[in-house]
Amino acid sequence: MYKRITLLLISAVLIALPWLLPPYPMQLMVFVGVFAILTLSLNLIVGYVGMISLGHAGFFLVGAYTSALLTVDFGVSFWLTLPVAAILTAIFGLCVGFPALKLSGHFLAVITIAFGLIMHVLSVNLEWLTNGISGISNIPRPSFFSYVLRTDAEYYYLVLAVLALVVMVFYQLIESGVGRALKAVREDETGAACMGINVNRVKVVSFVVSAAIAGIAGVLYAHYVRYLNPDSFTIDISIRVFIMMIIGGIGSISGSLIGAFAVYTLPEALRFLNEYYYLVFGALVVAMMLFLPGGLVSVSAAFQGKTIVHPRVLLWFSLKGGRKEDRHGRNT
Amino acid sequence: MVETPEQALTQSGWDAEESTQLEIRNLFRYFGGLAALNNVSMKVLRGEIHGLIGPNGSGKTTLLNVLSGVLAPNKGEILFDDYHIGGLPPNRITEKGIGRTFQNIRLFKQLSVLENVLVGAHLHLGYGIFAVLLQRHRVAERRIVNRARELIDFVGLGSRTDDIAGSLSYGEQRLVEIARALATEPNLMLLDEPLAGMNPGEVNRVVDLCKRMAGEGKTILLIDHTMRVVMPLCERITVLNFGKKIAEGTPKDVQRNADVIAAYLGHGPKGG
Amino acid sequence: MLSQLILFGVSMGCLYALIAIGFVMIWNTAAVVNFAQGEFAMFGMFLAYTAHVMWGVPLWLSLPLAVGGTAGLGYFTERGLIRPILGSDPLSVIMVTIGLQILFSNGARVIWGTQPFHFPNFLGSNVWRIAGLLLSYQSIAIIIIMITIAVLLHILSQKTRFGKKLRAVAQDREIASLMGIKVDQTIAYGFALSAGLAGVAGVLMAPIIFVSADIGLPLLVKSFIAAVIGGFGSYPGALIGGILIGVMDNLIGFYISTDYRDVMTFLILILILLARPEGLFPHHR
Repeated sequence: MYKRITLLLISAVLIALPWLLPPYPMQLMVFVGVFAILTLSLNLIVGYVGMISLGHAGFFLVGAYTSALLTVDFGVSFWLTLPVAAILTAIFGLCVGFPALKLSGHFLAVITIAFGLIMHVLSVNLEWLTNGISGISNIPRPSFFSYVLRTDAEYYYLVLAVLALVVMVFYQLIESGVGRALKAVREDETGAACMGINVNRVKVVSFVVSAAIAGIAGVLYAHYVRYLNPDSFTIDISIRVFIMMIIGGIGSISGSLIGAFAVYTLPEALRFLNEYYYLVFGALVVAMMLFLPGGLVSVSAAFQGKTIVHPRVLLWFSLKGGRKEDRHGRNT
Repeated sequence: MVETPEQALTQSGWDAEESTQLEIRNLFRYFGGLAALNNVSMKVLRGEIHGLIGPNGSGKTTLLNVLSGVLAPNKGEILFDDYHIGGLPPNRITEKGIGRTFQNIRLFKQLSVLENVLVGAHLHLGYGIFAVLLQRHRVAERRIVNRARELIDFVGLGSRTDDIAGSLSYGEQRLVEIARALATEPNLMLLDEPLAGMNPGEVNRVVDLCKRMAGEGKTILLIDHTMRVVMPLCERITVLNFGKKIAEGTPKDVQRNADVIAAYLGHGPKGG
Repeated sequence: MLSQLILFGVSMGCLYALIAIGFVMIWNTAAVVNFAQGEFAMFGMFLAYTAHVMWGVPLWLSLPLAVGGTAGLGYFTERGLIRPILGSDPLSVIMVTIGLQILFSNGARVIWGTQPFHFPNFLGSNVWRIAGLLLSYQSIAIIIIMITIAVLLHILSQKTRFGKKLRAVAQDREIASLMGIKVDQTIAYGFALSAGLAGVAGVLMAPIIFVSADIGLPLLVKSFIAAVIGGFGSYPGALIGGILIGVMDNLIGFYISTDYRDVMTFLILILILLARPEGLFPHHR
């Protein structure tokens, strides 16, 4: 009951947002949405299966550039480039996923870091394809039949729709036998295998799906900013998404959303700090891990006495308590 | 002691080969230069409760690990229902019908009891990712949830179904492991020290479960050190020492076996 | 020319190796993946710069001061920021070190600004000519120092009490503490030592590359890979790994291209890992 009401309320607020917010924050919310999708894709691998990826910016890049190139150079429609980019990124996910089987922990971390870096270098140097550091400009906004999504509000709804779809899919999968298999692999690979789970297949499929979703986020990003260059896809982005996931709460869907929101809007709140901003940010990350390792969603887990949290109810509590800077985290 | 039809037949002279469910032939497993399993050969008959005993470090758990696929054998063959399972990955072996519990409990501690048992039913889900996306998995899900609840009741933990596995007591966790292994719908259950650390009431419960599982036609291969339970419960027993099989037979035969006595009393338990 | 490149690669590789060894030391003793390891090197570099170039302190004093200061930073970082979360789940610990990486690199940016600085050569720009090879004094110094440190570390670990404590804690923390070793303190000193090693690398690197607050992350990635290639947890492995990376970096950069240098290096290393996932010298914890 509580869940339904919460869900309705939040949906209402999110839908009404363009009327509630001035233009600049509205733009931020579009980015928050895109990064929320990216964070969810990372959370699938890290939070639910228990692998590590520090190169997700690479998938983000593939999705963004694929769609950008297809629309700019070949005039393909956005609605076609979206699935194509997702599939192409998924293939990259396959390439990274297979080595991931033989390696784990820090070995895997190295491979994923290398992947991100390689993608970045390629985007800088394969000039005939990506236009190098000059980047790709004039990426068109998608159009609905003949109506172009020109305004921020309209694009926001597109992102919101995709985000909602991803969240729903995740939620369904997590609650089913598929999600249980993921969690089992995370908890104990050997135990999971002895229960009949094909651990290798779980890992590879997770990587593929995660990559595809990251690619979709990339497409949404490209068509919003309308100008791409390699600088937006460095290891900093991979780390930033990682931080979003951790701050929100690993293994929690709503955590990814909250984390993306918190990490993206924080710079704005701390604008006045100028060059000290990043410094404070780093300090906050450290403090966060020291005092609230479960992430922001764990504030409400305290109410529930659980460690693995149920998405929707938490969103409610977290909205109240977790996001504001004056509320100190509790020790869980 | 339950006398199965196969045993009655064997005792009257019929060929025991037909009722062999698990056959281990000349199994070797090395760790570095050490042979944890040294030319082990044994048979487990269909439907029997078979004990596996031996001093600490004799290779019992290693044998179970090789049987369940967690470790690969270095040499030798393992035949389960005439199928070669030596060297297969654990999930394939579970598919073939072998389930197991672990010496150091390996539950998914952050999941609930129900979820743990449901994971055991993974092979019998009857649906995949696409079915979930199309929301067509409800019926199948309900079916296995019912089955899981059945199994949880079977082990007597109905009241703890939704509790987080990590919050249960040691003895209760062992019972959950049994329920979870049963969810894989095995023909052969490998139980690794299911009685360790249990109080007498819990021990009785496990013994009762074993009898009921065997009554339902499941074969049980059981490792434990609690002799006063193992001897009356098991129909046949295999004894390992330093990775070698030193005896295989009825409890009476094994208890009188000079090598077995020497292994336990004479030289004492060696190693870890 | 080839031997020239290899030699220079070896000397650069020694620097990566130093950082990697420190990295492995922290992993072995505290089971922490120290994302801020590169920042220690950066810090050492900046300290040396501040002392010698900004304040005019003579070289023979600035360098040890820089290394000592970095070691101190490592010690206090562990005591204040790492120790509290040492027991909890690995991801939290990684996050703290990631946070530290951001903190340190931006702290340096705030203190020293974003402009890269130039550090003068220690021994002048002279080169030595041996058998047709040009060796800069700097490279020779690096190699000599590396050998010295390797020997010292070996003696430290095998012959001194501290070394034995480090190894005990690395093997099994619980048993070490049961045997009366102050595990917390040992880990803190281990951190100090690791930071110090990175500091040495940073100081030696200063004249070769620009002193800037941004070098931490690239150094971390290279030494991380060196440690992994070597077999995560093995000191000689980290040493070999570092030198391997240094040499490959140079060879690929010269013979193939500088743009794709990093990519090719990574690809080759990935191939090595795939062929031998445990690394060159697998280390069983």
